[in-house]
Amino acid sequence: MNYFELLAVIVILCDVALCAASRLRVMIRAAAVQGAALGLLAFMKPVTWEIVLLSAATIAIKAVLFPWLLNIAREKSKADEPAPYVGYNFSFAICAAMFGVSVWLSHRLDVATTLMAGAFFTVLAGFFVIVSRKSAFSQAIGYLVLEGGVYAFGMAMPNEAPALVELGLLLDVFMAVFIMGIMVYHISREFEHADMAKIAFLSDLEDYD
Amino acid sequence: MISAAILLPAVAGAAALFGGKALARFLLKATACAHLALVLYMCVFPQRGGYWLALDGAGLLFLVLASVLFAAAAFYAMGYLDHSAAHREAHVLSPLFGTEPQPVFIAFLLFFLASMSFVCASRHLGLMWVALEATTLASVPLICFHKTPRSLEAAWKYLMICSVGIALALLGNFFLTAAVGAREVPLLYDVLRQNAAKLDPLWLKAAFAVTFIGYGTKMGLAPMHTWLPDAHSEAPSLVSALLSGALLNCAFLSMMRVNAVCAAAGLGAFSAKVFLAFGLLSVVVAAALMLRQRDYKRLLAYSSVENMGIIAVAAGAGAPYAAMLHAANHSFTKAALFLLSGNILRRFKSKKIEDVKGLVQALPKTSFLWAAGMLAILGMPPFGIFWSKFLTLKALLGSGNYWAAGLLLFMLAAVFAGVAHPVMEMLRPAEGQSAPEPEKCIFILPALLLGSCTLLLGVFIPAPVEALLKSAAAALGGG
Amino acid sequence: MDIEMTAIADFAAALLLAPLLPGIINRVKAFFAGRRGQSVFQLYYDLRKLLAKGAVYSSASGFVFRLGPVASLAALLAALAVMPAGGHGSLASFDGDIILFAYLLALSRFVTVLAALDTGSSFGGMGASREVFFSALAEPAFFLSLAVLAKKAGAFSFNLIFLSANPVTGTPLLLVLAALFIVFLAENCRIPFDDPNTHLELTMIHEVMVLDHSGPDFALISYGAALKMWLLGAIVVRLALPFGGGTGGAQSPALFLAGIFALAIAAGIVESCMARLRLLKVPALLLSASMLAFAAFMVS
Repeated sequence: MNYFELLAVIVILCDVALCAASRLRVMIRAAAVQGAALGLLAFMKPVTWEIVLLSAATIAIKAVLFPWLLNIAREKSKADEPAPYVGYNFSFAICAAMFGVSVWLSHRLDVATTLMAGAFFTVLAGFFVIVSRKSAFSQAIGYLVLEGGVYAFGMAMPNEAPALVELGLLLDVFMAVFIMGIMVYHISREFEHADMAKIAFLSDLEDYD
Repeated sequence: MISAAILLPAVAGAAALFGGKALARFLLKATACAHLALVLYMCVFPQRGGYWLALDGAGLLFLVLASVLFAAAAFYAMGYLDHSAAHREAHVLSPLFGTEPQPVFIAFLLFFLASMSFVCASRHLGLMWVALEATTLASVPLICFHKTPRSLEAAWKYLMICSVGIALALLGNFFLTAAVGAREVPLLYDVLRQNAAKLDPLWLKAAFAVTFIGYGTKMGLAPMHTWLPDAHSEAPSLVSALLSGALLNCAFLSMMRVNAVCAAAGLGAFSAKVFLAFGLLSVVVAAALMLRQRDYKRLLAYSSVENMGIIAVAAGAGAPYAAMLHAANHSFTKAALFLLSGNILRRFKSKKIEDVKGLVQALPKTSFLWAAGMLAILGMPPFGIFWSKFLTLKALLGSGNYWAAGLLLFMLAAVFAGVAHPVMEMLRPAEGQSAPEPEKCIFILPALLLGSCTLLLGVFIPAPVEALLKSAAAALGGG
Repeated sequence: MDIEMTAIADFAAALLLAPLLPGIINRVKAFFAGRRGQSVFQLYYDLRKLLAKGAVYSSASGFVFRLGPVASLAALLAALAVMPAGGHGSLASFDGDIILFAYLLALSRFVTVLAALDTGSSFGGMGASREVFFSALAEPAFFLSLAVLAKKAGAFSFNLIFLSANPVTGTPLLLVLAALFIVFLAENCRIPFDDPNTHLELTMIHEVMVLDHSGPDFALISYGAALKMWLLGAIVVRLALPFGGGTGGAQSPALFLAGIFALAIAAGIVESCMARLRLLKVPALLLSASMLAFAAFMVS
């Protein structure tokens, strides 16, 4: 059996789990499993020391470090997950639609592998989570997944980017989510919740006081 | 030498983070001066770049702008931090950094400068992406520095929207790699430009589309501009000056690099249309939201959106020189205006226009510069923006986009109406105004110097500056 | 259409052995609970007992109530004719018979629901609405799985699908099996969708629909439920176990029987280890089964 195809399918299923999950713990776990799968997918390229380092770094950051940090922040903030803009069951239907679009896109661009479709689907799923969720945590996880999708796209491409840039990429993602985590901590400390829909003081479309 | 321009602020920032308040302030002043001197030296003696870093005309222009603006902001910061320290209690930024806020603020300012220099000097497109993401991350703590609810919201919005945009730009970078395919062409922008004809056109088009949206988000083009009014109005004034004046230009630089590759591959007509469309949309949206705006800092922020739109229109109309000139003029003018708005905010303690009455009596020097700056940003001669807007319109009419030119003129008129009325309200003398406070030189001088730069550019462009602008245009033009 | 002897033998075997399946499930549950449990042949004894009894009909019910069990079993028998059990072909096979199969199952469910509504009891209506809700959500999963099979085999007939030279393998197979197993549990009203052991009417779904049937009617319904389990299980087993596909290799009925009993044991294990899902969570599980099947469809 083609193990890389299995990994790609795991990535896809984690996206579905992410979009339809109602609890933050499930979302964090889905992102972690997806991170581990993405790390293992690095071995699709010809194996060199850089690839091993990249894979190890990806797994360490995405599957171990981030879930740990996010769980700590989640427990400290004691915030309830507010209901999303799009219901959980309807999210499933949207997932199916997004997956269909991803497969079509990958065929249109002439790279019709499962991983390519999975990469597009992950990007779309990340977008969907950011847009449809109200909690700042969910938005941060959505961003993490979005970057994972772009990373998966890089893996699916036949030729490689220099390892230096890939590592720089990883560092950037790490810093970004780190800073997001700090921001969420501050927001939840200031407001005692992390519901972004309630934090909407800046607007030009209403009279403000 | 080029890497020194990046490493110097980065190292100084790290030192400021762990040093004390006095060290941080010294480092800020020293680094600003040293960086400016370094950049001017590199202007006079062009540097040969390496594999990863190189300064072509456009990079050098934007680096000069960033450096000058930073120097102005750094000196303004001296006065600003004195004032704000007296009015805020110590507040822990995060569990990891237990230091006082001022060194953290200064450290992130220096990191911000380092990352912007990195963007300007990057030759490899992937590295440029990393640098642009670093600018986002370095500027987020600066925006929410005062931890008010509004600034937290603004900082979160900025972080999310710009990070998502830059993630899209990363996808675009990968599309570019796909366009390169199996041909051994590294992702260096000049090498790509030379070999542009060999790239796969479908992937290249997809790359341009996605990269435009991604970097356009960072640049503040509509409809991806929604973070800009919030972030630029809630940030401390000197940070707003840097964001509006320097960072938007860096995003524009990144976009133009990719555009140059596409134009060299023959997609110039397509990309020009995209630039024109989004640029006009930005001007329209900004003009619409500037009318009846009640917050003067938001007014300035929307003006940034409008001016970025004009820069995009200039690029799309095939007049890169006008785009460069406008970028330079806008940087100087907007930075001056934001620094002055800091003075107003400090005196009147409110960002709303209706709370600012009798500015002429309260802050005479500031109000003079404020009025001059507003006239400049609206495009009055003899300030520089008039000339760059004129060149843009000329290019539009010359390339036959009559409808676009007409729309642009109409929107500029709307912007004038939107800006002139509130400014007149602010400036008009009011009864019962308290005696004017003495305005410290440090709050006036940076804005004055920046304003005079834009006046200079409007009246007479010195030959070296002209040469720099022309080389920048040549480096990015070709479409 | 040639009717082979093997097909008739398979049909007879299904008719005879189907009631073993609920027995096996109950035995596994008892084992997990530490009891000795009912005999595996308990359903046979129950059927004999019920057939000997008389039926009681409510005065509020009409002819639909009497028609329900008979029509339901008839539909299931017709579906059995189309399904190739064992390692051989089915009794009847034509292009498009997979669609007919799905609709025969739906027909049996439909007449049962009608019979439940005919009693005029509110419990019947409640159970009917829930049952139909779950089935409606399970339909896409079932049809998408069939679509994967049809796409791979290039044909719309069970015979041709199971005997094709291009069997579903690898990752799509895993996904389709997972989806079909969830559908199997849903259609047969097993945990995690419905608890067959509950005696509280408010928590029942399938049992409350058939609450009012008695005597021979109830025998027909119980027998039909066992047959449905056999039918849906046969698809899963034929997919999962290698029967030497189109190569015409070893067509072993013993292997098939082992497979279907193993499936019953698996269902029993699931039933012992899980509790019933909250009603609000059931659509999520069924939709995820649809997603699995959809992913398999796209990936194959």
